[in-house]
Amino acid sequence: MAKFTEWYAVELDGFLKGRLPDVQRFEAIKEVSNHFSEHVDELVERGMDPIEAEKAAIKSFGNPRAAAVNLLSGGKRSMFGSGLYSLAALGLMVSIIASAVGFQFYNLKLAPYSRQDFLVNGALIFGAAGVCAVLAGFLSRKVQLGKLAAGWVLGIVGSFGYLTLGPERHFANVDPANLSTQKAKWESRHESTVKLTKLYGSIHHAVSQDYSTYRYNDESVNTINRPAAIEKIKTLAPQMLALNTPYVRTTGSLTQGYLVPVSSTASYNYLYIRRYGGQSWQDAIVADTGESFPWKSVSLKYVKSGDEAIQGWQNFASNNWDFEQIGREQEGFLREVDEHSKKSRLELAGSTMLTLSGASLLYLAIFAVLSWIVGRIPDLTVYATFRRKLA
Amino acid sequence: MAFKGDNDALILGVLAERSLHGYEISKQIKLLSKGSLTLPENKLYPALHKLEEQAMITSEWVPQHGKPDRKVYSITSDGTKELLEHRSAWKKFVSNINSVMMDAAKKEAN
Repeated sequence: MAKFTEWYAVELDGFLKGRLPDVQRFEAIKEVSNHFSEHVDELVERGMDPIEAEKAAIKSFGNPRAAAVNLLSGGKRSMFGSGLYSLAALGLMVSIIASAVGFQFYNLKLAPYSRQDFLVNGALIFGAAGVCAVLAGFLSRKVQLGKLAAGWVLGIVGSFGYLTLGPERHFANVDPANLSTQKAKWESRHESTVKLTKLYGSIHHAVSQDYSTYRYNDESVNTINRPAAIEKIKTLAPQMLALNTPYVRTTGSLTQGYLVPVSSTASYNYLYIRRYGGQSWQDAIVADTGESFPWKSVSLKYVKSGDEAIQGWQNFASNNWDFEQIGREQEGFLREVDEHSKKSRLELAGSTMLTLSGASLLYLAIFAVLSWIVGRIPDLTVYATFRRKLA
Repeated sequence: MAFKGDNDALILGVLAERSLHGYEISKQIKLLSKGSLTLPENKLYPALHKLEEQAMITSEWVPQHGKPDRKVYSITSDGTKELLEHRSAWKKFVSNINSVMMDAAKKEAN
């Protein structure tokens, strides 16, 4: 009894599943089955072979996909399709938005976000969305699998294309990802040192020695940043004196160290604060720098007070450095950095928005075309089975 | 005046006579039109569902002896009003076509 029409009903049900509310779907299938039953009975009454009658009834009704499309277009569609389908679509949207937003955060330094974080998170998000999409497609219908997989691949290709060809590439010279750190560098010893050494050849040695300590501690910058140096010395000197030892114990990054105001008669007059790992300061410097000279030859004068240290340093500096000029130069640097940074950020933001908008439109167009094409490709697997059974 | 919604009008038309199930509706349209009108079967049910959603027709599952229940459709008062409008529109449409066709025929005869 009614093998072919039953198979038809199963196929039709497959097309409707997840797209019509269950009650409506069951009723529609039941109604179509009744239709077949009536039609077949009538044809059999007229003397047709039951099998042929079934085939004729099916032929008269049309293929299950067309029937499903008509039923869906006439009845109430389920608002979001199946739960999995919705989940997949949502996952895909979230992944694209999150990636785009994350990328902007990363570029514009709106929040701490490293490239590695972005790539790892992006891979996880896309991976999760992709698995979700494939699973949903597999569990609903094969056609959706094609569409979702295509959307997923497009999203990945597009996003990585965006990363590769997007604003970062365009602003390769600006290096937007490092705007903030660049600014920090310019404000700090490196740019300042280069500039200052050009301007003040006489202090080259002192400054470069200071610069060489860059990798050991942050305090060396204080020799360039005068107010900060003074504040640091004021903080550290009393502690050192209180301990009656050259060790300086503080909290934070400077756990142990020396405050070493050097004799004004020495060749290398400067204030030097460095971390100390338990060695004598001379040995520590030698171990750190690999240089035995001139560190060991420096004659030291421990400060008796913070004021004395500051005074000693100021005396040295005022004899060798033109602080007004340095100040002007530093102001100039900062102004330049600000303008450059501001301009770059605006350019970057504009370009990013344009690229993102363009990319989104492109994705949309490609996805629409692909969906259209995929929508017109019959579900070959299902049809092959059905046609084989029908034959 | 154009005559729109012909499928709906045909369904309402046959249901105005008596309540019918889907296959009967299809058959009745074919029968009454002497085979000249055939509503594609797979478009019949969507049309019925739409009309039901619009409260033009109503349905109920009727049990059958030895066979599965079947869904029988009946026209509602809204559907009857709609059918009257369809009929009126159709009359105007036919009248307008006649005017054009017959006038042309008279002129040709003269």
